[in-house]
Amino acid sequence: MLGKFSIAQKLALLLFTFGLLPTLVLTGVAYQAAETIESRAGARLQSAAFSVGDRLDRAMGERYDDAQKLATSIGSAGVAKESLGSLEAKLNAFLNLNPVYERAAVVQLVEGASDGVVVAKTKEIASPSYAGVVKKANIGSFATAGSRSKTASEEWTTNRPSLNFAAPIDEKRSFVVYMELKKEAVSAILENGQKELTAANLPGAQIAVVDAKGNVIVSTETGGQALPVSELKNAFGYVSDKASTQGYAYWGKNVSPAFGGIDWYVIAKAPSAEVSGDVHGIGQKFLAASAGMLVAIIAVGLWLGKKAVEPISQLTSVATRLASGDFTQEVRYDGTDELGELASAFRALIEYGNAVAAAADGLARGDLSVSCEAKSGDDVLGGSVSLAVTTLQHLIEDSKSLIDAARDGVLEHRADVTKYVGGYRELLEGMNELLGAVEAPIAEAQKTLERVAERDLRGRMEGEFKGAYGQIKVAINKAVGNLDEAVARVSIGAEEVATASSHITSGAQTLAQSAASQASALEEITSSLQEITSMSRGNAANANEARAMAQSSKQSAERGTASMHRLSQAIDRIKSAADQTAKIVKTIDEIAFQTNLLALNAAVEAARAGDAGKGFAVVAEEVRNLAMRSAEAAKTTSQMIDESVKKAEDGVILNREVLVNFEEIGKGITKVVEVMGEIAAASNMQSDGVAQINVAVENMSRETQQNAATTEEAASAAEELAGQATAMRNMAAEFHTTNASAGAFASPMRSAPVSMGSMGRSAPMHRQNKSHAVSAPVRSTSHSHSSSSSKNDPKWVIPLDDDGPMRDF
Amino acid sequence: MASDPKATALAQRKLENAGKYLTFFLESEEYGIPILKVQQIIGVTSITVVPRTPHYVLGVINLRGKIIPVIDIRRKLDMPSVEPSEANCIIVVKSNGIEMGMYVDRVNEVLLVTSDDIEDTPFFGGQVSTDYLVGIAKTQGRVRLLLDIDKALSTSELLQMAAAFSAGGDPD
Repeated sequence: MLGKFSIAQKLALLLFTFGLLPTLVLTGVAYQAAETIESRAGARLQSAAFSVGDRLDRAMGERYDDAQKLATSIGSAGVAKESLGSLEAKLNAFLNLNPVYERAAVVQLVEGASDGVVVAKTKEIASPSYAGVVKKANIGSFATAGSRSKTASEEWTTNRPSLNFAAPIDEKRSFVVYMELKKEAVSAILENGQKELTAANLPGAQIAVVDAKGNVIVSTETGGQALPVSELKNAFGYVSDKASTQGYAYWGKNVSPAFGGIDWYVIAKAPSAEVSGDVHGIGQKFLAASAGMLVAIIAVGLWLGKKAVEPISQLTSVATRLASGDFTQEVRYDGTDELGELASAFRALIEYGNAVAAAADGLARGDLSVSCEAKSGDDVLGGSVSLAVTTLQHLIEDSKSLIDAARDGVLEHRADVTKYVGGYRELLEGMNELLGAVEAPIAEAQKTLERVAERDLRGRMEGEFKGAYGQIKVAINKAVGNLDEAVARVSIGAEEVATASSHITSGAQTLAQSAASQASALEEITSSLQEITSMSRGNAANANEARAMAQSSKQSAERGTASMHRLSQAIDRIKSAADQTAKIVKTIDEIAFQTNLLALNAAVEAARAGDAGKGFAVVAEEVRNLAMRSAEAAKTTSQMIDESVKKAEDGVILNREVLVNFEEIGKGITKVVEVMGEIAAASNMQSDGVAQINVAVENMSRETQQNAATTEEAASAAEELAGQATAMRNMAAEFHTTNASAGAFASPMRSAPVSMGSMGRSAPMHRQNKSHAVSAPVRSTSHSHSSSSSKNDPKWVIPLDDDGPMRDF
Repeated sequence: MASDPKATALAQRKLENAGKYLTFFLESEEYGIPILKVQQIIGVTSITVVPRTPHYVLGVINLRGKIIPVIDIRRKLDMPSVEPSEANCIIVVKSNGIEMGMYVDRVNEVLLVTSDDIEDTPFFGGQVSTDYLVGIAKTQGRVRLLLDIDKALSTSELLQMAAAFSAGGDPD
């Protein structure tokens, strides 16, 4: 179980265990001492309480004697006979003699009544209920003890406990003397006790008299509070009040059982800090010191453990690194103890290991100048390293001589292998064989390439070779074979090129002819186009003129329309006038009708009158005729008016038709204007289009001429090509190739291309030179031609001079 | 022929019938009535329709305080009615002692008819009654039918009606 802890921890635990025991013992002793001190203080308090109680008891006995003396001096007879004033004088005189009393009275006790009646009193006793209290207080004591009564009573009216005495005056106990002791008398006794306690090194001690409920009757303390008397009665001795924050101690005594009245107790108390404060302080300081010491012990134990273990752990880590082959370690511990010896042994081991490692490192890096000697006969490692160094030096020398020879092209040199054994011997033998293997293929390749140099392409490498040598053989054979095949193909190809170039020549000539005819056709097109341009310009002008005329016609038509509108208004006015006239005529007609009737009636009357009415009848007849005529005239007028109205209406209809016609004319003219505008625009566009066509045709003509020139150049180039092909074929024929057929069809084609080439080579070259010479000044002034076209300007490229082929067309 | 009694009677009748006539038109035909029968000629005024009267009675008019019946002579003579025109007139006549209005198309003139002008009414067959005609005048190249107003207007209904009007109206 302890194996889990380190050495340092174990050491600390040990020290801690041994340090804990004395600390515990010392703490126990300290507590014992505190208990003793505390009990001694308690005993002092107890004795103080006893002495105060005893003194009070004695003082009360004396005071009772005073009461008895007063009662005797009054006497039973005195109570009955004497007047109230003499009794009061006696009581006052008593108070003057004994200033320790507060007040005094004579009280009559009536059988069965709860309250006594005060018959005489000192001035201070005024309350009737006061006597009641006196009686209540004395009833019990009188019942049990006849001769002597002493009591402490409570004064209820002021709610303040007081110390009272009562003594019977007569035998029947119907009158008693009542006295109340001054508080200062009791306080003086208590203060005496307190002084004694102060002297006994308890300056905070207080003494109090309390009743059974703990109510304070008299106290050295101002404003003393209620105290737990019931607890104190059972505990005879020092009691420490744990609940109180101030920590008081009490001492109580019951002094009352023999007397009437209430029980009373003397309590001495002192702050617990004064009673046992120092002792507790010592104990606490002791505890703190013990804890500090224990912490220090643990720290020291840990430090010591660490100090002892450090060199061991350092050596352990060095040994671990050495086991893993790391010799760069350093042992720093230096001492004369066993650990110091172990450390120096480690240092020697590291030194040896480093020397061997340096030699091995040199070998590994190829540095053979290292020296390593065996330290003793048993040193296998050192001896082996030394032998390896010498053997490798020899091996490298032999290898170097072999490599130098091979580098200089001397492949026959071989190394002496008898000096070596094992792997070294195998290595040198292998190098010898390597040189032999390199030598054979190089010799054969040399032979083959020498034949190629003499233009004999039929030689090949025949030997059996492995690996890269085999690949070299295949490559050389393939190279020579390809060259062989290529030369044969070049020969055939040259023939074909010669034939094709003659075809190209004839084709180019035909092309040049057609280009010339195309050019003349294009010239005709150009002249026609110019004619079309002038015609369409004329069209546009005519259309504009027609449009202007149509515009003026349109204005005339609009004026006509306005006139017709005015005419139709006039006709409407005529119509309304005719209507008015027709109404008048109708009235005339009616007048004529009535006149006719009147005339007829007159005629009737005249007829009745017989002969006397004959003249009147004539007049009536005349009147009737006039009426008839006027009716006729009105009828005619009406007819005429009707006719004129009808004609006016016809006029209106005609007018409308004319208006419609005028409007149609206007629309037609508008359309004519538009159409004329369109015609003019179209004509302009047409002339523009024709101009563009013109440009295009000019371009076409230029291109055609350029075509012709290019064709010419192509022909000359083809001729040159034929010549080159022939030359190439002749060169190919100088090679000896394995394929005999290549040479077979080469011979019949030989003569034709050569003659063609000789003829065509000079003429085009000459023309070309001439054309360039002429074009140079033109190029400098021309701005419209681009750089590409200026170089081969057809005007100048096409040969128009005497020696050109264009002359034949 | 003058000695013929029949001819003599005819001449006598012609002579009786000669005189002045008031002519008026129905359709395009001109009729004449003796002028002495004519009381007055008035324009068309408002005609009050009287129910339960014969179909040819148009109604009554108030002629200066007198209520007189108006007869549509076209209907009376079984001629078709036409649309009224501005030339329509009422001829007030006295026939069989009672005044009544004749609604005609148009009044023409006062014409003097001589006995020579009067021709007898032609015979149209046994069934056709021409009692309402006195004769036919042929003056100035035109033919005019001369009405016997008493016969033309005489009917029992008319008489009753006239009596009814006479009883309630004119003491004459």
